[in-house]
Amino acid sequence: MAENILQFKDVTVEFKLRRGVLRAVDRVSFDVQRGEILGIVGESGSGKSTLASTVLNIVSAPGEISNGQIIYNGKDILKLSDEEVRKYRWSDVAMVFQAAQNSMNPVIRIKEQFLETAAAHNGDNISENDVIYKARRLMEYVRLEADQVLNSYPHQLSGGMKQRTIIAMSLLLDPKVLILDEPTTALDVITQAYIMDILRAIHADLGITMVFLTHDVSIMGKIADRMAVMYAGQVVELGTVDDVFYNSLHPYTKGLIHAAPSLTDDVSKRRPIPGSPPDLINPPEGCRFAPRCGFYNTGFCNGEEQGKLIEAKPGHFTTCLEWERMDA
Amino acid sequence: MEPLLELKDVNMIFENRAGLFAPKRKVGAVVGVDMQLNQGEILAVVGESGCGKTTIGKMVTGLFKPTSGSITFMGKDIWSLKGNDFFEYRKSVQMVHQDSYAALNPARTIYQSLSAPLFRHKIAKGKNEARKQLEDLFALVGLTPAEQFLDKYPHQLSGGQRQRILLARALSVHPKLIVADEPVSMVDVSLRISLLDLMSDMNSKFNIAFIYITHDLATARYIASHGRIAVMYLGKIVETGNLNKVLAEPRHPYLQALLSAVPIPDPKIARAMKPLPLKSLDMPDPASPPNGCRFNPRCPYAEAICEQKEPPLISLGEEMVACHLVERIPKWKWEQEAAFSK
Repeated sequence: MAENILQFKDVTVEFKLRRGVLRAVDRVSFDVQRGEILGIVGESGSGKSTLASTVLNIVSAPGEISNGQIIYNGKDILKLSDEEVRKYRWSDVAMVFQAAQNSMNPVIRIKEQFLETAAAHNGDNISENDVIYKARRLMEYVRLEADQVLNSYPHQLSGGMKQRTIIAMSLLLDPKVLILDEPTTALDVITQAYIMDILRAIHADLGITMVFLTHDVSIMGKIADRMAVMYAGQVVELGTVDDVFYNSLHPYTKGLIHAAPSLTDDVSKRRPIPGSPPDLINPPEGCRFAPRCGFYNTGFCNGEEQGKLIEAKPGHFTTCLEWERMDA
Repeated sequence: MEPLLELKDVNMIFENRAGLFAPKRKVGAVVGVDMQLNQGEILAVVGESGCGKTTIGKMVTGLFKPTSGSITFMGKDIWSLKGNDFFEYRKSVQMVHQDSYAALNPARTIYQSLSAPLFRHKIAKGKNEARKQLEDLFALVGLTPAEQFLDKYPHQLSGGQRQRILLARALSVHPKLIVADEPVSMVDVSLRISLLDLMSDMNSKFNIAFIYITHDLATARYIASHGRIAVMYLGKIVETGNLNKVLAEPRHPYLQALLSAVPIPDPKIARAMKPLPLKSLDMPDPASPPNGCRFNPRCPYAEAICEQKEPPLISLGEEMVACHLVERIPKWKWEQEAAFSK
């Protein structure tokens, strides 16, 4: 049995808005295993970015983690002191944000951004020379010209180069877990494919645990070992990539995979999922996918929910009560 | 038959400065492009960011005036049109934008935004008639009941719904051509297909021609499955022809690389994919394009001639390819297909 490096237990994030309380993440529980690449797929508004921000305890106001625990190496990170959190960020868990191209300081050179990061999160434990030495090595990892890039300002780099620089920077303090939130979304397909190659190589060399968030289900096959599917604030399915793709046990997953435009299959076979995702301030009672679900709409299911993942098959979890129908 | 739209040797050169006091430099966003579109035809223009595909869309809709070359619509040069003719052209060519939120006035209701072109082009007389027409259109694009949408503001609707509204707005003036620039790239994956299907339906129902501009080859297949494709690289068309044929047998090394970079939603196939057939990742600066073939610094097959001479677009059967070595480029293998048939 693989060891769990990160555990989510009943994590709930609420945004108190004028219209009411919006639960962006609703009672999410699952484990991330040491050394794996876990992909999390969800459409916009499914709560995946909010979930990722809970790992660093940086949920943006007015959102707050209203319930649950996030256990990293046996410790609940929501209970750490400010000083402990500062060290935990970046040296234990690092994150590459969605619009990473814009997450750099535009008026200082890349080199100084590396130095600043090290100073902020690791205090005095590492000398400037060591940081620069390390930065050079990491630049090689992401296949960039170290001297040229370190002395550039962010605007002098292309989008793909900035993204690779950010990935290098995220590895600066040897994090054990790297969270990547839509790391390739704003990039061209060729750059995207190249960055996936780099990430796989980094994973193979360093054995670092990666959590990869995306809205694009077609990327999963290339990068992830296991994948989780999020819908309306909940994780609805979790398992190995092959299990989830070839034997989906949740109708939403199946719909999503069949809705993704592809280059190879029969054009007429692709089907959109009818309807649109629910309003999270007033989510449907019971199963949140029911209004769009074929089982519910044809009377095979009464739309009840269990609110948590059950292990339908070894290592393959779903929230769907009628998963046995999917299996047929 | 006279083509609906024809571009002849169209160039669009932008001038900009690298810095405040730096000398002006010229950037060829679109260079020597020839293109034809017949009535009711769908053309997908595909390429990476910076290849000039959006510039083509803006020239066709008359938003940019080409630096040289001519664009004719129904036999007339669009830049010599006057008065009524120009008005008619503006009505016949409509656009659907990528960012549906930015394309609608946030301070106006949907009815206010969409009735304006109807009055402008005298398609509807009076509010009741405009409302009736919009209700019919909304039913057509799958926004029912229409009353739920007409009096709302853009921020109250989802991205997919707004994109349908943009399509309804384009359709409302009975155009002959719709230029759709990345219409689904900001829409959720689960809703993309339905929008593409909708545009395809409008094409066959009303015989409206479409120019579908995208970076995503996979979505191009859905809208233009019976249409044509033009693949662009650094301002030039490198390969064009029937979409299904071109994608089944891509000849240009750039298109082959692009195809191998597209993620495949099937893990077994995705893992079997080989590394990209490219020498370098970075696109050259369009202000100083490489000599000879613009793709030669990244092309794994490049030879001496590729650095010296720019390859013209030559016919190969029904397709056209701009590559000196096209006869010798290895045939593209669809490993994916083999895996699917198992």
